[in-house]
Amino acid sequence: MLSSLKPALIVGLVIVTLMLLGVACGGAEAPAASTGASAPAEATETPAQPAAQATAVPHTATPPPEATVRPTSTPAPTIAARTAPTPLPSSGPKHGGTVRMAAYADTKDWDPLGSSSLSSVISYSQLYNQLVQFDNVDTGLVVGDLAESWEVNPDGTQYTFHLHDGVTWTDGEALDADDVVTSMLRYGNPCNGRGRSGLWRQYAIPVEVVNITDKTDCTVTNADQVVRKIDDLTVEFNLAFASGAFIKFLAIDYAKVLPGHLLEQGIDLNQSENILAHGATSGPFILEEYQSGNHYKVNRNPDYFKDGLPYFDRIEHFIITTPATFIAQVEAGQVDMANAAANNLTATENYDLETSTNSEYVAHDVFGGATRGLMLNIKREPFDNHLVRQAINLAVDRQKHNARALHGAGRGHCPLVGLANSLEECESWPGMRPKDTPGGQEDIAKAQALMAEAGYPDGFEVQYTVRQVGTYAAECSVIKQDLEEYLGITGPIETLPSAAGYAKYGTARPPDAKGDWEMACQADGMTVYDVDAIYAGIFLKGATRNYTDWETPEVNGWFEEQKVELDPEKRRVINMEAERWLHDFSNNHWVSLTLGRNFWVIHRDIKGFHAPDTVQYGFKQEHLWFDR
Amino acid sequence: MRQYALKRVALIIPTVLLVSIIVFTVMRLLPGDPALVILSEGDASFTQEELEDLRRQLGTDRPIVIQYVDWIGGLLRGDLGTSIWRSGRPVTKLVGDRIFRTLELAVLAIIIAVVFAVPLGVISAIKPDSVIDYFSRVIALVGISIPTFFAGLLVVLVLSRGFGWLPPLGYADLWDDPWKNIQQMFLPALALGFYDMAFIARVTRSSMMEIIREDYMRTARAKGLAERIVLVRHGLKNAVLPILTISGWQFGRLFGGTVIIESIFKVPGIGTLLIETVFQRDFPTIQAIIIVIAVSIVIINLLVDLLYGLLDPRIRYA
Repeated sequence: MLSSLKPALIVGLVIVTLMLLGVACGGAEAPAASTGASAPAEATETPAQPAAQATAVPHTATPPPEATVRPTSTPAPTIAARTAPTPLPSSGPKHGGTVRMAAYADTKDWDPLGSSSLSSVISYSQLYNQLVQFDNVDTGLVVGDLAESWEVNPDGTQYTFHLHDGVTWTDGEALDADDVVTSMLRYGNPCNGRGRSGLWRQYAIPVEVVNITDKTDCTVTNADQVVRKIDDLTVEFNLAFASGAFIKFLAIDYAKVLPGHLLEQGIDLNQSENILAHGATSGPFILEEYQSGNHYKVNRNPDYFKDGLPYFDRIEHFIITTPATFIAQVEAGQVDMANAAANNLTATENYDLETSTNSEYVAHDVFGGATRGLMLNIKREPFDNHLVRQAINLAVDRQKHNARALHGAGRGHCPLVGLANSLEECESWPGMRPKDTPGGQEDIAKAQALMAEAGYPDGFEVQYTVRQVGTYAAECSVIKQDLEEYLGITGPIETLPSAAGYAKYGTARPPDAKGDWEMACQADGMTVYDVDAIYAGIFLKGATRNYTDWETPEVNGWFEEQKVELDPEKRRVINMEAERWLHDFSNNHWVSLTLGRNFWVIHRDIKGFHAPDTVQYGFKQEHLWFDR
Repeated sequence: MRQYALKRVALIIPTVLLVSIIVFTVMRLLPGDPALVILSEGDASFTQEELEDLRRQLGTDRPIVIQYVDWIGGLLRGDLGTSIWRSGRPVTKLVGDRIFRTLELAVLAIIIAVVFAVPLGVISAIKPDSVIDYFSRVIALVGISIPTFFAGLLVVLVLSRGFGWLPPLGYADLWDDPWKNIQQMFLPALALGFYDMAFIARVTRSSMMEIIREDYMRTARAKGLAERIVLVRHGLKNAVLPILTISGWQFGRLFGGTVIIESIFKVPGIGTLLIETVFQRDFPTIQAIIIVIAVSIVIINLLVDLLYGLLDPRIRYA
């Protein structure tokens, strides 16, 4: 019987084998070839002048008067120094090449208006410019982007920006002060969501509109008082109070200047099709193609106003959301780098990736700008008792939290994450000391005494809530072990999908509600490395992570005092006092735990990368180049 | 037959309506607020006022019944609304851009499954307890036991770690670059169709084993017909009905089951869109995708039923 089937079977098997072979051998587009950097003519081209400009911080604005510029009050803290071997480039920057980047998520918005999306800013940042930006080398320093220079008035409430002359949109129209004013008034308009593009609002004179109550008429009525065109190349910003943090929020990649002439025509620049159709961008790269859920490709802007930049001819971004797929693609050499310090991998997986690729790829540390904490619902018993909160703050083992939940990649920290008291200093404070040291034992004993004083000598039952995101569940389970062991606080950990978790936390927002949660593990992300971002995220009424609307006159007072203080040292002193008070926990709702760490995976042949202070900026990719 | 077909077509309406109500209600009952998701992305800061503003803009502050009536009205007009996650983007376009890719993947997977499974099942049936039969049974057992997502990950890891190769990145549509498209689609289709191959092979085997013992098969042989003709014309033709039924069901399952495989292999179909939108609580898009999948499954089942009539005269004349 079988013999009669043999010919058909053999033919079938041959066809299938050929198909498999054909597919398996079909990697026609080998990654190395696709970089284009191997093209001899381009690869050896070394434009001396642009290289010099790139390394010498090009386009730095005229330094404003010293009294009105506030550098970051404290340098970004180092977290368990781990140096990745990055070989020195064989020569200066080279032009050319197609780089393949992995995006950790798809693009949500192509218009920065109201945008809070990290995956989106990575995409549109290459297409547009800001007025100012963070420097590529000294990544905490604000330098000019579209602004050639700027000055600040003596009382620090007025910024005047002078734009580069001759900058044009890719459709040929001139980019001038009108574009800046139109863009910024959109971000400042209270009818629009603030997102991250409008974070500077909190410092500027508020934009007023005809009818904000029901938003029937959102025409701006006080434009000239907020952002004003002086001439085609000069723009003036007016602040409600002097603030050094203002310029930082203007420098993040979200605060883009968009083509005013298209916005005025009502063209929706949130749709990639419209960006492609109208072709009016100013940035280092021009959008060539976007395929939702899969990839987007950009080409070098030949008329970019920064001489010699960018270096790459083309960037292809592939959206790779699955960690296993990302690892496989890197190991197979299909991608040259991630396009941000976000890749959905754990710290250990990032380290392993370096090993499995024989250090061909380097996982660069990026200070995450995310403070991890334990949220306590102060509206519910027993957390309405400050003695209980104090005891928890003392009993939590930050070192164990870092080692077990964050794979040793983070570092314990105090409430203002090293921007007030240094991390070294605060590591000696009660509660921060390792539990196996005499100081740590003292902390545990004091925590137990506080619990007894509060009426809970044997602890109590509680429910932990976490969102199924990142390492939150692992973090809560480590904390649960500590609190159970030292204080007898026990109970289940409830894990919820991300949105459900936020909804649950939100139940504590209304003034008369107690909320449906008790303790929760959560982080707060900083857009810029500045204490204002931490206050606004955790310690002010209405702050993102202040779901119980905890508020104290002490913290409000310190916040108001420091935000108008222009002297960095004086400001730091104010914040040091605030931090000591917050850490003492005579009244606090947020137990600060650990500063995380993010990783930007980049092939060792790609040069020009300098890690930004937070994961939220540094996406123009204009200074990167291939050393191949 | 015509009446039967009309009845089946008419049943689609209440089915889809019921699905729409279930989907809409379940989505609203699930915990999670799209406004919170949008504002909280990347652990960003926002105020209560901004949250309430966004809820108003999205229309999620209105009563659920009004939201449903609005949505179903739009659905009848062919307007699936606009995406919450991708602000302002029409859902019809979002889904329309991707549905063909998912369909292509599902078709390719079922072709692979049938092409491998039927010969395997037939050989296994006519040579029971032979080496081929044991091989076929082991393959079937493994195929049924391994979850599809795991098969996908295995394929990716074996290829990248073992051979340093993966299909080229950057999805190419079939009509733009057929060769690249086939390279990209073959492996996900193989991973996706593996389970179905195993299942269909088992059904084919048992169906064929039953048929080869029938009197008419003995008669055919007694007439002196070649074994190949006996097996194909008399055996396989009669065994095809259960195979067709299973294949139809499996195709429906495949169409809805591409979610994980698309994500692993970076196929920008409606499966990846569904994952993205579920995480973002993008209700209009999720509802549209589920309705599309439900309608597709209903239509596939209808086609299979109608095909029965064509293949089996007993049904046609009943």
